[in-house]
Amino acid sequence: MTFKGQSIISIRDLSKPDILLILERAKKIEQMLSDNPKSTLDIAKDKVIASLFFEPSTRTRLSFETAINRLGAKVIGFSGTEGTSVKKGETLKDTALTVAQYADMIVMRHPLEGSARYVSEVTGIPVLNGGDGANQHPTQTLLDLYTIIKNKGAISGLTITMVGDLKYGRTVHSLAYALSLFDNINLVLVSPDELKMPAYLIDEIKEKSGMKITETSEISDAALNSDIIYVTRIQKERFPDPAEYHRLKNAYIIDKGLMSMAKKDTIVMHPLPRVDEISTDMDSMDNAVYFNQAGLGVPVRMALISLLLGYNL
Amino acid sequence: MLCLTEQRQELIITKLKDGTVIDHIPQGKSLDILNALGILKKTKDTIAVIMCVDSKKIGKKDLLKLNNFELEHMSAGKIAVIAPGSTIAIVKDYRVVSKCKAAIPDVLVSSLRCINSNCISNTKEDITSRFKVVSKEPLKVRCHYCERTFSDDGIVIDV
Repeated sequence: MTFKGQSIISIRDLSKPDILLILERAKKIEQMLSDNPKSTLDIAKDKVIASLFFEPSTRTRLSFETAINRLGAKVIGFSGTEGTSVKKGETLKDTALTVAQYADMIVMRHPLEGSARYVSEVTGIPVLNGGDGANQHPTQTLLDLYTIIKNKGAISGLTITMVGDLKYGRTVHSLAYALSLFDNINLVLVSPDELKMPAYLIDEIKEKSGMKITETSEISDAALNSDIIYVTRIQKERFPDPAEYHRLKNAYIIDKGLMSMAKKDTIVMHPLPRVDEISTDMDSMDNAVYFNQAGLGVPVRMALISLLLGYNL
Repeated sequence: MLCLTEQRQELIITKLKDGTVIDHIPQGKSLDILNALGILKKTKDTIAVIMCVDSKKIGKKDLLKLNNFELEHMSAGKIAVIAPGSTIAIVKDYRVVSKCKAAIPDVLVSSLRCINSNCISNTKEDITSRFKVVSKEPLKVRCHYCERTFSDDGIVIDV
């Protein structure tokens, strides 16, 4: 695909070559900033990018805004709708059309599914989806894939175990879909019965790719022999019944003891924030890559923004 | 258009001068089509609803004759979802000027409603529903906005 002027709304919009091109660009940016990873490229000095976060975010918003700043562009926007016309009842369309008068690109997170696609259609300027409800979070998936490549050298041929809330977690949905574009992936899904990955998604992936998928409720040998354990938080806000949340919240805890039974080079990833599902005693282990994973969001988002704005590096 | 003759007690349905004939509707689906297309609200002309007619092709069928009524383009998608295999004929001056089978298109626009309450298409925003047809047999569709896939009872006609 030609990236210039496009929006990135869903991982479904990207082919395998598209994904690899974005990750190559991220690698190149890291190389260009290798002397000082916190310096800037200053290639987009004349651009203004709107960061519209209609709901809370720590990593996604800050890494997007860091990426924008490191490209030399300016950021406008809001975090939370307090003080905006959204509180006065303005429609998303009107907000988006107004912002499009000021900015060259919109980065957004919104609680409604499909909101980013809608904004990209009504404004006609590039939109980067930073999460739309329980639907998509494509830049998280791209940084997850980049983390995998950086740590494992390749994506194809790996055994990857996803643990935790696989029902509501949009990151695992998008990542499972993206992994299906690669060859010989063995995907192990570990979750309580109540939080299994939706059947329609598994069916779609199997129909499309034939990727091997195993579902289980226990962290078995298959999981411990994985190349990657990808952990997700059991999301309190998804449970109408608090008792149900408390029953399931500590269903799986990844700690040093468990990792002593895993392969030596198994890495542990997490989109963060975590609660108790990864013990803090893991943090100092070489296997724990989740903070570095969050850091890789910056070069990946710099890569995407630079591609959508049409810059050659 | 309809009359019951005194001698033979037969139902006679006269030929349509101008309008639309929807034929080969699976038995019992004709009222669903009338409802989904909002036909009763859109016309005051005569409508013939003929149900449980013997059919060589499908055993029993329903038939709709809509006097002075021309279907909107988008309606064919709705008919295809409700009554696959139906035929739609446009009649002008007693002659069939066009006839087509109600086939499910690759994309259904303005035909279905997303049942995901958290989908942007279910808000006050001015959005035309759009679904990609993932599979025609059995029917599976994916909402263009929230990307959820629906089948069976999850597929709801936008009335």
